[in-house]
Amino acid sequence: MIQGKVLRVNLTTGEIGEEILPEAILRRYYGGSALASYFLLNELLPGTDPLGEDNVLVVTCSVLSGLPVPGASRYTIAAKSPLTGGFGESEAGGFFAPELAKAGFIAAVIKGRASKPVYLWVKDGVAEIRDAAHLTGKMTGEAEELIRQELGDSRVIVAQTGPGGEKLVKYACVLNNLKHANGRTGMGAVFGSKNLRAIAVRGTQKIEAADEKAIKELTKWFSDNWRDNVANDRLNKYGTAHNLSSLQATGTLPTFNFRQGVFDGAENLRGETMSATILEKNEGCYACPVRCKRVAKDETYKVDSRYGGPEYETIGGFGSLCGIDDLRVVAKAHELCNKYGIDTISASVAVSFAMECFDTGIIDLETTGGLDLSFGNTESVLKLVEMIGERQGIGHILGDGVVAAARQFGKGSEKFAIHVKGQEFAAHEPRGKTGVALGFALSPTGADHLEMAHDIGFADYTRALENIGVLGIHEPVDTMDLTYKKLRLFFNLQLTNSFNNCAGLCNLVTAPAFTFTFEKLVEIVTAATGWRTSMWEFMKVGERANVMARIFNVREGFTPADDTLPDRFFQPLEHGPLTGVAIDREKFHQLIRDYYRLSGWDEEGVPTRAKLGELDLEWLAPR
Amino acid sequence: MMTFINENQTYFQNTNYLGLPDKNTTFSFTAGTTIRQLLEQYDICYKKQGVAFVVEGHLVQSTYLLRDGDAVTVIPIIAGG
Repeated sequence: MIQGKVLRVNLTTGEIGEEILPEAILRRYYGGSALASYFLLNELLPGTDPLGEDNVLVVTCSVLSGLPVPGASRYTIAAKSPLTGGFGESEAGGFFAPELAKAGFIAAVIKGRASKPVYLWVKDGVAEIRDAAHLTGKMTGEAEELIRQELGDSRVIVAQTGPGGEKLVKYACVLNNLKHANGRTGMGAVFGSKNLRAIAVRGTQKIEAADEKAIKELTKWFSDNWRDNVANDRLNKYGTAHNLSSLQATGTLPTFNFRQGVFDGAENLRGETMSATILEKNEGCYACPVRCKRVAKDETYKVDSRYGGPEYETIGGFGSLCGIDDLRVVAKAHELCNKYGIDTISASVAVSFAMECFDTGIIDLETTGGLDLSFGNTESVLKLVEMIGERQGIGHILGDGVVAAARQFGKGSEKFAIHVKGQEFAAHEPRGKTGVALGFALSPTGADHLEMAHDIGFADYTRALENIGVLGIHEPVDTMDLTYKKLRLFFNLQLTNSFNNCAGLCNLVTAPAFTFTFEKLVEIVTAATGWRTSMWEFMKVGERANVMARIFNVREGFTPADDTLPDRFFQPLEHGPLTGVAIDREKFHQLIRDYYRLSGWDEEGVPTRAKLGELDLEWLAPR
Repeated sequence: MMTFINENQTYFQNTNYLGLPDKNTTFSFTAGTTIRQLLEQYDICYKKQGVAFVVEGHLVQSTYLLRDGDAVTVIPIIAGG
């Protein structure tokens, strides 16, 4: 198992140091989200300006990092979010975490602000702050090349923000290898605010598992079995893009800024269509044979395949949400976002927000600088993404997020701002899946579609339902259910996804829906760490992470009023199979109040002293 | 002797997701057959295929009782992405 060494960097003073976390801390937090909160709750004062010098930027791997286990390639970047003013956290896969682990560190805590642009270079236990003025304004592709050339090693892994982060777009992101994004909550803007362009890392140390033989056997087991898991096989063939047809068929494909759940052009956006047209090849993350990532190329729109290809969220976001039915345009929008280092999800919702404002006459050609923002205008979408990245004209306004943009546009435009807590929605229509609806409302990072594995997997006697039998859930729950049944499902599945975010695990290789069952995960962690562990411990780690994030937000002044959905979703849909369907406002908010109680939180949604004590978080209890 | 042919038909879309060769398939069935039972007759284990079923735009379980003329869309179960 990786040692608990933490790299400490102060960009103001240039000081670099390290500390070793005792195993007890690693055992309590595992890494990722929970470990990030451990640092933030200890070292970041509430009320800090997220784009100021005093924000604390944390990069956390996990106790699995560096081991060649499929799906264990992920890591977390966290800080106070410039987008929401609350808990900022985003995970990514790719190749950064294994490299940082092999370079000797489980985490990095970065404070202060450099007086001029810099990047951090970490190689085999040694860290250095290097000048990055020559990278300023360069797109991520060029910057990565320059860094690798300068360091004389093409195998250096670079996690960076782009010009979007330098310009403090509030949803700027961090990408490793140009295409694996810590997408959400504006972590790229935090990089930019610290004058930190990138973290480059190279590690050659081998991470020893407690039981090397068992790790090899588990890796081989995955290799031998993943194709038999149809969901994993489909990801290999079509990527997450294949989600789109399911969403269209169930009326849950967000269209025209969440006005509708069905889109006439959906056929052209399907995963199978991508495979037949713009797909150059597929690729994957460290040690994972599923290779679900797409690589897209197109001559007409000059899509550079270095930047990979769109996941479902990008296809929904820049496709149906904006009324675009051309995958080549979606791929180009994706490429631009990755070049500039901005989150495709928030960016696409900012664009569709502007489109609805244009459609309803709230903004006009004067406000847009002559850009016709009718839904479906492909040229305008691509131009607007560039303008957001450059913070030009209306792009400057939209770069602050839909909440801020609505404040600027006025005239009632806030009803078109589809966000929770300031973060824009991902491309899933909550009126068709109440578990996802709860996730959007309750996620500490604002609207997030990955709080739990989606409802559809548990609406019938499926493999996914079978897999959560070990958690004591055996009966299907209707996708539209708003009773204790959905609450129970949500609470438990929120914990397993949260655990994944702590253990650096990918949701797309693990239970409920994918190849590694929960039983296998216990074997993996035991083999990696030598700990005698169980799903119970894992669920508690996940819960610990959620409670810590909640405490972070409570400290920043968030209240139960923030655990809700935009008004739009309490109004009925008017098209497609879900015509007439809305979320029942009363029942939904009652379920949220029940969620607090079930979670061991008080009526104000604050974790109680008893719950904190149970989770070994007594140090967070008010004195 | 009179023979009654009690044959109903159902049209499945996206049967490739069930591992069948064709994108669309028409099945015959006798009244009282559920989706699960129908597929079992063709040696298809729906659970293994990771799919859900949509009839008239609504998700139905595999225990759904088929009616003559039903159009069933097979969709892959998704988890978010």
